[in-house]
Amino acid sequence: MSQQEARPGLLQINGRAAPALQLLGLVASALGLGLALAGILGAGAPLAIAGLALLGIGLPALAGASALQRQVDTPVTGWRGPGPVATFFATLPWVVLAPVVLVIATAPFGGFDRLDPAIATLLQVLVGSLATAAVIGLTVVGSGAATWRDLVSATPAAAAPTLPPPDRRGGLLGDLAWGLAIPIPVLAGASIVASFLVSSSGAVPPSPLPPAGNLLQLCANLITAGLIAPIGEELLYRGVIAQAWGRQSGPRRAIIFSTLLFAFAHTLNLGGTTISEGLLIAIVAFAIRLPLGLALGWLWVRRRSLVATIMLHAVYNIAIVLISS
Amino acid sequence: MTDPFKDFLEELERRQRDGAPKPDATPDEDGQPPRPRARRPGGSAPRTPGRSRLPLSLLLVPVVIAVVFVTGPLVGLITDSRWFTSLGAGALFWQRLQIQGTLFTSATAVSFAFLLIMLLFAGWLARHDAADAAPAEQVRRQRPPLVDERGQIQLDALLGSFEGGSFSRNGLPPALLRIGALLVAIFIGIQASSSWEVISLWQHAVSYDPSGASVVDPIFGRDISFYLFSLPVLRLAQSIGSTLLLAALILSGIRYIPGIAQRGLAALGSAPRFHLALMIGGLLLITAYGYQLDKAELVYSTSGASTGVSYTDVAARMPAFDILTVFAAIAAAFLVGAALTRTVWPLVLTLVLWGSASVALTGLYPEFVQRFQVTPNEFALEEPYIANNLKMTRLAFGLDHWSELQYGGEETLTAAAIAKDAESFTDARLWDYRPLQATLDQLQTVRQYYNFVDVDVDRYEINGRQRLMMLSARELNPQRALQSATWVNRHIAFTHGIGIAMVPVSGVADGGLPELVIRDIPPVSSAGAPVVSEPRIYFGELDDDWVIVGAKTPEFDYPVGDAASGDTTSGDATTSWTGTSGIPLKTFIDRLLFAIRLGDLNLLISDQVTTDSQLLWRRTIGERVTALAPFVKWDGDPYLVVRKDGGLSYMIDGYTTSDRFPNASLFDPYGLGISALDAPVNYIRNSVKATIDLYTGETLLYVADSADPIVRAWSGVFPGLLHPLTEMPADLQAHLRVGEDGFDAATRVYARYHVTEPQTFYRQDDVWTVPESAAGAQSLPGEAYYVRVRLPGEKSTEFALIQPLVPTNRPNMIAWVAARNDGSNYGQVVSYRFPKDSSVFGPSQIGARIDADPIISAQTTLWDQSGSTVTRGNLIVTPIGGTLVYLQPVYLQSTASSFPEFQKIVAATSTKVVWGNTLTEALNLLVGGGVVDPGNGGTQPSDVAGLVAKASRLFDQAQAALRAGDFARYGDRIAALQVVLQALADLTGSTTP
Repeated sequence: MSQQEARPGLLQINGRAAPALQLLGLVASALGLGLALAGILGAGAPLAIAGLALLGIGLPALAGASALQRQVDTPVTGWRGPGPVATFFATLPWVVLAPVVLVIATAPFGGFDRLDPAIATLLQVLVGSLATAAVIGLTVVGSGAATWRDLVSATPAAAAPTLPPPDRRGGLLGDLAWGLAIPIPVLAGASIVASFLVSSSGAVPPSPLPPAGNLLQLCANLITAGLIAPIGEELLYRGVIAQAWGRQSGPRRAIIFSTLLFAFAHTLNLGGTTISEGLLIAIVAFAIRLPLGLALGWLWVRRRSLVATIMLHAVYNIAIVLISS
Repeated sequence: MTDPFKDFLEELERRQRDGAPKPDATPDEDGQPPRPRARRPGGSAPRTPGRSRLPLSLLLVPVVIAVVFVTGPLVGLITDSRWFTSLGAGALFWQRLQIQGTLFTSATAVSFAFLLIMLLFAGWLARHDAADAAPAEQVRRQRPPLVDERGQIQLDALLGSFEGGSFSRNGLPPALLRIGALLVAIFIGIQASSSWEVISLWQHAVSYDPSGASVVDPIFGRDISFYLFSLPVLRLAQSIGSTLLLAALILSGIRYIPGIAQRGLAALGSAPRFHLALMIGGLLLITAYGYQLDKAELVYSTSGASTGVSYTDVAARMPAFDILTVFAAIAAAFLVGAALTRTVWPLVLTLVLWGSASVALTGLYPEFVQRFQVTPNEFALEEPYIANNLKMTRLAFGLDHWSELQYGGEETLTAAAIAKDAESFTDARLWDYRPLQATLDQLQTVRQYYNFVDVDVDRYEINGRQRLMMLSARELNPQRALQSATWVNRHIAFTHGIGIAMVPVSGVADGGLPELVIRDIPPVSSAGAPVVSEPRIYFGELDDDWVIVGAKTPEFDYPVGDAASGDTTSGDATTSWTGTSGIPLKTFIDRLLFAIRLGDLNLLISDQVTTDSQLLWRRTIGERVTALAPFVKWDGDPYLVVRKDGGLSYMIDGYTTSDRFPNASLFDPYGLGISALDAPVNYIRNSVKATIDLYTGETLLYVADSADPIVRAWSGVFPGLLHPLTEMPADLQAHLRVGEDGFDAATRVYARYHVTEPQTFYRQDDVWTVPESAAGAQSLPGEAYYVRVRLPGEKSTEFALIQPLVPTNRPNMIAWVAARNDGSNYGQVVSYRFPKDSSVFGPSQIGARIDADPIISAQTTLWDQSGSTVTRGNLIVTPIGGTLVYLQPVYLQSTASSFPEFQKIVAATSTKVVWGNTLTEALNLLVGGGVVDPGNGGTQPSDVAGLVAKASRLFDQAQAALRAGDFARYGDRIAALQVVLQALADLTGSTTP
């Protein structure tokens, strides 16, 4: 960075003139983070919600700004969307806020509390998934980094020199076949990991779904776990995050980092009565998601198709819902 | 002996000569120039004649230092543990040590690990940063070595590293930073371990209410246990956290200084900047959290009309702390943002806003609200907060369970009323414990090495009736025994006190002396008093020395034979302690340890000490109960109890206190003579009772108030230490009582917090106080007293602790408070309130009236001249039916004999003050006759014939007594005769002869 370069005015980031979007993102994110932290520290839940909402504006703005920057300085074959971690965090506030949105939305109809817990969870996951899709639509598709088709299946535009050519044998049917075949070994592996961890640590992470007492609840749970969650999560973790890392660096990073973020996201809504108990539960919850995450990442690299990974994810989730009920 | 330091210097000089590059002088194997060896003087240095002197003499120095510095604490630790084992609490000692040790080591280790990781991180980032920024430039200049080739320490180099230029180029040596980190970690470890009580309580926190129902503070709605247990720990964690992050920041910052000095902060790489920003951001977040704790601690705020959250706190300070929390958190976020983006202005803006908000919102705005909103309209705004303070203070001091009864108190006293409450007069306190102690010390110590320390009042079953007794233990006073203080006498022969003295509180014998029902050595019981079968007192209230029991010389037990005949030494009875709870001195090591600990060589070398000997050490009650439960505040006055089995025990009340009760006012015990409390508290419970066997020293603690959250939490910390009260033997349970110090504290709070109306409280026109010492130098200060009395509305007499109360600035009595002690009524407190406009006389008014009574005043003045002094005891207020009778004994003390004798008892009502030689006489004078000696029961005849017959009988008895030379009986009969004649006079309408 040369000293001779003319210093731009107040609106600068890292010494260069900042696009308004980036500045907005930075200020909104920092304010939102501050408010959210203050709320968590005890200044009150409304502040925390306001902070999250601000973060929900600021972080997508930052992600969008970063995508615009990459449009300029990244080759076409590389990843020109927002960074994978940025995308992940940009979707997070609204996923966390989904219940609040629902509480507000259902207030005229008697309130969120009166809903069946299974339906409530379904709606919550639905809102979270829609929010995720919206953020991806704004920051990835909207910035022109990729089209929806690029995210869903291996279009020629999504071909990258850093990734091996996809195995597209069998086409869509092949995707479905892979998705049906892999869950069995993955389930076996995951159950071994889970039983070892649960027995050695004593911490049992609670299921993200409410227990199904009747057929309606079971159906709702099946729709949540077998349809909505897989679509929303695959769009984010494989469609954008694995793709971004794959096109930036290569398949190994794509698999590993998308798995880590995937597992990490599943620890966020957990807690314990003490800090150490909460930590232990979170670690267990993290670890038991790793086998599935790795399998999904590997399958995506191989097939480069969200159809395959959604199928795998759905079959895996449905199996777990059925087993546990 | 040679001087080791000189040797050392010589050796250094010699080695410098040898170490010079002279290949022929260094017989190294490979012939290379010798490496600096200064760090390893004992290593493979060349051997030359005379070297061997050095290590030996040098080694001695650290060995001696180590012995001195390690042995002391080590011996202290071992001997302490042995003592705790003898107390039956060896495990407790180690557990407590373990708690502190664990806290220290874990806090130190975690802090040190954190700081080290931060340092490593900083070092790694700084190196990478420097390499990234200037790969060609030689960043790390060679530092002059601290030890040069000749093995000399280069002080210049060491100092040079601190000087500006060199320091900023190279930074401090990493080792120094690590030492700094270790010091900070140790500091944090000490902070954690010294807060072990707070942390242990928090770990075993329980809900305030034993049932688990939440009892919450009125503002934040948190359970009170949050304030008692959690908030102090959160504050501690916040302070430790900020210390730790600040230290990490400073240490890492030092590590980054070379880079910053060379290229400036702005040019520092992203990673170091991010690292620093995260730490500062963490500090800011901790500060933000601190604001939230400040907000919670507003429940202790003393601003506003009452303690606790007040209007200004709610209107100004609570939002202020929230806003400041937001500012601090946003500053943290912008700081991290600034580190990542180098965009600093939002951070600067936030900091400026934060700073001005801090001044405006915590300083100016609350003042503004207070001055312009609250002050002009104070009560209207503060009313709910005053109500909170009233409610919580009453809860904190247990006043919410006190019942209140209206009490007229101004009925005319009649003989019939006295007859109805004769039982209350049976145990009228003619003896005050203070003069009685002086008297006992004169009459009953028998030998100069004994001492009556303290006289206690307690109830005993005497001949099938509950009676009020005063009793005191005859303890050994080593200070008084100093004349004969040879080592053997002091530590082997004189080991224990013996026996007790017991006097009925109303028992006056001939010559104004106490009527001793337990007396002499060995103790003799009479008149139905309990028999003391094990009178030996090895553990007591007196400060005492350690003793060895089971030595070759038997212990002196008590003097036998007539002291007057002079043969006191020949006939001494001896004894040997049969207990097993002493510290065994079986082995040489045992004796060595305690010889070091007690600084007494004789313990080691005396052949008096055998393998059967035991050491009795730290024998005072205070030491023993405090050692077992340092977290309990112990009453200043343990009281002596004669058990059913004839043994002696002390019982002592323990209080759990806190100053963390939300919205409750602090009670400051300073200067009030409440020895249990040494600091202001706003919560107190009489939750622990301890019993100490005076012979074996066995000390047991019982939970007396199982609802108290603090004692329940401690029971969790030390399971097995506190026994349930049901495990206390029944004969000791019969002597349970409401502790006086705790009652005093609660009464004084009650004096202000008896009101439940905020308006009344706010006006402060119904504030009461404990009447301070009555007028005149002759009177002893008034205090709460235990009496046996029939409380108004109750059927029978009971043992009660009574405290009269007066309004501030007015001498009239406004109420009196009685704590009940017997059976299932234990712990109930009743407040008897007079009407607000009551003209019932308070103690100081009665005192003044006594002083002004012509007869009493004249006689007192006559007595109180050279040769004797007059002392008046505690003024006892006794409720009799619908009125009060004030009793105050008068003692006369000759300067020559120096013990007070009972002379007169003053009896008074609001309208009349009289005194008499006996209580009956005084009462008769008070009501104009008709009162029969309550001690004898029976009734006064009401017809002329009966009275004449009785008068004649009494006169005969008096004459008989006079012939027999029994003047006391004569006086008694004549006094009784006077009463009968008075009654006759009343009956016949004639004047008193």
